[in-house]
Amino acid sequence: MLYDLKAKIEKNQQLSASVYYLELSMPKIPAKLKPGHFVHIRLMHTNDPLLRRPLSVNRIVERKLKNKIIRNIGIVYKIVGKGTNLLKEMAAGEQVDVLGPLGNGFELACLKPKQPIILVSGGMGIAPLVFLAQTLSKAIPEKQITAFLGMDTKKNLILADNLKKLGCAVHISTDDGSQGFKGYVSELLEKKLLKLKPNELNPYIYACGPKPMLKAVGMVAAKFNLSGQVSLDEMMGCGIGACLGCVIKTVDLKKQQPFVYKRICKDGPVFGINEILWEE
Amino acid sequence: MQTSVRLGKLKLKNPVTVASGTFGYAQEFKELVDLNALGAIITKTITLNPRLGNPVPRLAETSSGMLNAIGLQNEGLDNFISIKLPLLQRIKTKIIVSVSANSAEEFIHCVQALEKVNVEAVELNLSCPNIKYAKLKSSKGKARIFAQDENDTFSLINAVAKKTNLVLIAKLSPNVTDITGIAMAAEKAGAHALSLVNTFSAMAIDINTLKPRLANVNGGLSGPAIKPIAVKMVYDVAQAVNIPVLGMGGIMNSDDAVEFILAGATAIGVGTANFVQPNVSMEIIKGIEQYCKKNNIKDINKLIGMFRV
Repeated sequence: MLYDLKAKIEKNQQLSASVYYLELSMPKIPAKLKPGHFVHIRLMHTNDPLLRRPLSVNRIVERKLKNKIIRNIGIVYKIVGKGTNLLKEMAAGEQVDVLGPLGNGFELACLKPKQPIILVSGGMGIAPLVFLAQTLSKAIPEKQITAFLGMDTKKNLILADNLKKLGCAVHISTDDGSQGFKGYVSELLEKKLLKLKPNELNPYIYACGPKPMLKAVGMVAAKFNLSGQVSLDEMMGCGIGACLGCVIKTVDLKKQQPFVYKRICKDGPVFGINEILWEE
Repeated sequence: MQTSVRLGKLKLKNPVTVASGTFGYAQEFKELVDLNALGAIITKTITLNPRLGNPVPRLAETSSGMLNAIGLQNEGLDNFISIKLPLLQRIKTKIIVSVSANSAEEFIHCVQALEKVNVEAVELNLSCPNIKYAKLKSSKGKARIFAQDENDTFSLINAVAKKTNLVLIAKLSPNVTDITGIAMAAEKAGAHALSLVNTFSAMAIDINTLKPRLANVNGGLSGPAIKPIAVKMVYDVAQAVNIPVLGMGGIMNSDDAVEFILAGATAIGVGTANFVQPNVSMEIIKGIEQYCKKNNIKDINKLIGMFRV
């Protein structure tokens, strides 16, 4: 079920120079959320910006209110343009309009028993992976999760501690080498995968980040014959599959056409790691 | 209160429709909107053969508006009839199928196929700004948007009108010097109603990458940014023709909708606003009724063109 509701801002805190944590309370939607879902947020009382902003769900927060547990949605967003600049100025108690839950979310049923899990993020791609780790660590406590986090520079690194607290082994890469491995997160991933022992069960990959990074992770996955899923970030119109604005080229499983456009908002944002036809 | 209006012989229970391309095939909105309450649903444009549409990015946001260059992505007439249409026809409202084609023959083929499966009305999309147009025999000069040429507009509509009993609504382009000439040509050709405006041809450039913000370079501007221009075009056309006008262009709320009706629109189309607030059409239906009650208007038809200079 899909809802379009007014949500109350509980927190809107700065995490790093350009990244904020937004916590929203609202009925109905939090209970329906699964990792990889996103919500489409509208700033009411303005036509500029006009469109909603699709933001991934970073975590579910349980808070006690008069002996009742209520669930809020945590969102981590980066200041990019007009919309996020207005959003960051909003205070606790103010309202935004939330449309959700949207998207297909990460598929967890495909995981084999005892299969190690690898999370790979580029930049803000870490945000939905925290919710995924939160869900996985609750559902399968003995799960072995390794996270590879790519960021441009150390001071922009966010949420690594949240993943550690959830029991993930965390490896970091930065473009400038200010923390961890110097280089792309896909290169760091490849380095670690080379150390896999042949008798080990192949890990399963969940990745989120910019398209070039996901493309590179997809190539590493193919090289090691690993399965996985990638979650894409895209500017959207409606968010519910009507406008066909946020499509991406995917493999035609019927093999009738060179490619098939799928809607990132509705058919995604999560796709099989080998499903996307990456543009040059 | 009497809220029903007529577009030719098509009777709508209220004047609020959803514009083509902004509401998919309605199923996308079923959890958020009481589809049965709409005056009519105008489908995403279909074409005889499936179309992949334009490359991405297809959307760009601009001040109080958005650009799109989807390029009529759709699964083609046959798939529409077998998959989408049966679901649409279960909704208790009027379904207007938007059709685009490369020639009169192709338009006739699509319209006749739709007539066979009990479609009552079609919107002839003569005005998508994001596709390549064929050069027709009737046209003078180079190939361009059909609705930019009076002769093309007349010849296409007239050819279809001779071969069908369906209600024909012609969707006009605002990208013209004088829309009233085109509107009169459409009326003379046999259109039962006119739908206007389609999006305005426009573009945006990313000053950091030095690239256009749409892969198609140009696209169609919609949203509140275009509303005052659309209102004027609806007003001008309503003065010039005797067939009803379905007015649209940046309608965000019931005040906007009433403004279009006052300018002369018999019905209105909610477009880009569906992306912003999916159930906005429901609020607009209620808001128009409240406006009429407040102003003691017992029949919505009294409101049409009530604007006085």
